[in-house]
Amino acid sequence: MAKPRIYTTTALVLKYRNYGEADRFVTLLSRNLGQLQGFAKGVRRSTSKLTGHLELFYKVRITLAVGRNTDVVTEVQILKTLGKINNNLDTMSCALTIMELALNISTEGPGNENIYDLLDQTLNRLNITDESNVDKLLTYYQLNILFISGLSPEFKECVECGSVLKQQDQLYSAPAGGIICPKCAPKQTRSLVNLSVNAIKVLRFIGNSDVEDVEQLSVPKNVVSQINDVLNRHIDHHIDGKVRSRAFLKGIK
Amino acid sequence: MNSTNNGPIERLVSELHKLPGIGPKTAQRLAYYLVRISKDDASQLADAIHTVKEKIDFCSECFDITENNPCSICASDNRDKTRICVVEEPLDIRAVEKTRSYIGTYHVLHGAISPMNDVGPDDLRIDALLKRMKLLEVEEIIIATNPNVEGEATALYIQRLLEPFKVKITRPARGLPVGGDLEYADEITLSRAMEGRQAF
Repeated sequence: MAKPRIYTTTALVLKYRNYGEADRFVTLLSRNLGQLQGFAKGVRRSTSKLTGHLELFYKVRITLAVGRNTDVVTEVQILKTLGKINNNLDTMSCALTIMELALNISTEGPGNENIYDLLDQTLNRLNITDESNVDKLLTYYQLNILFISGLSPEFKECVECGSVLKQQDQLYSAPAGGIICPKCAPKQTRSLVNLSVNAIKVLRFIGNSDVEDVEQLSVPKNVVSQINDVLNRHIDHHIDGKVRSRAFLKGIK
Repeated sequence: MNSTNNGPIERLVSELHKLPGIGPKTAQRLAYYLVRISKDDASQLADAIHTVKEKIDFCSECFDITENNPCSICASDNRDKTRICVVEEPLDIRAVEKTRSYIGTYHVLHGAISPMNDVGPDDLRIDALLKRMKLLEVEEIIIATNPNVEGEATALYIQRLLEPFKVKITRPARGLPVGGDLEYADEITLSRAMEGRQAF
């Protein structure tokens, strides 16, 4: 069936780029249509009917008209603004990082439902959660988006010999995609990172838990930084495109 | 081969195309217009561009674009030096000045923090603002960055850095634009407008 000339969908605003005097190109993530590009004409003028409707983190009901190159935004209704994210630098930078990951991993067309749901859920939690839970939510999101895209790191078995890991400190390899047991480690030429037994326990717990349970978890700071280091290495090695927002997130800590 | 596809006209088109908001068609139209104008007019345009590049510089205090250093606002005795309005771009100063309701000084950041576009705090003139804070007796900092995510991130970052200085930090109020329709206002603007309502 041919695409209708005008279509409406519910989407999250992932990114925008200002163009010309008052226009903007918007990248959205729709649950059923995947990543979309829209051209919002005159949106930066204070008297435009679209002003303030296409900001980052917004969930919108958007109508687009099929254009020659890019579809044109004709109508927007805000469904959720998540205004509290913008009131805190830590939550905002975390939200930017998770949006950028969704931007790098999601694709055009159907098949992005799980990425959309995860992003929507994590943004909602970030909007209401305490500042101290930001790092845990980022870990939850990263582990789950890796799982959805089939790129989960292996924390239960050795990626070389397949043996079940013992409860002890281990070594992680980003190119190998998981933990390498002490027996296989000496044969490795690839760079290995230390991963404490506590960090592995936390990673397994977060990977199998609901977001509400993750928020209740009490994790020491050194474990959080170890987990983030491993996940960042994993994402950098396995996902195309640099996650630029992460540097800012690290910089403000 | 078409004679217009190479040489000086193509070069002119490609140079004009680099300007913001100028697409390939507009660049072509402008180039052909410039071909038709008199040599004197073309020289005046070229001279104006050349002069701007030669004479215009950044003000060493506020980083606005200026012909004289310091700029007329920073050099003026009539301006309130205890107030600094922090803006993203020099054009924002022109917009605030048009209101004639602000008599303090400015500080231009030349951008806003945009992590997704690789623009971090080090790419802005934030260090220069902190240096000014140490040298001057500032009472109020008005962070007038744009009311979008980048502007908010920049404002929150500056607010965090300015905490040790114990100055009054403010943001311009948000509300309904003159000439706009209430039904089209987004809910954040509308809620801020309601919060900041004043006695009639």
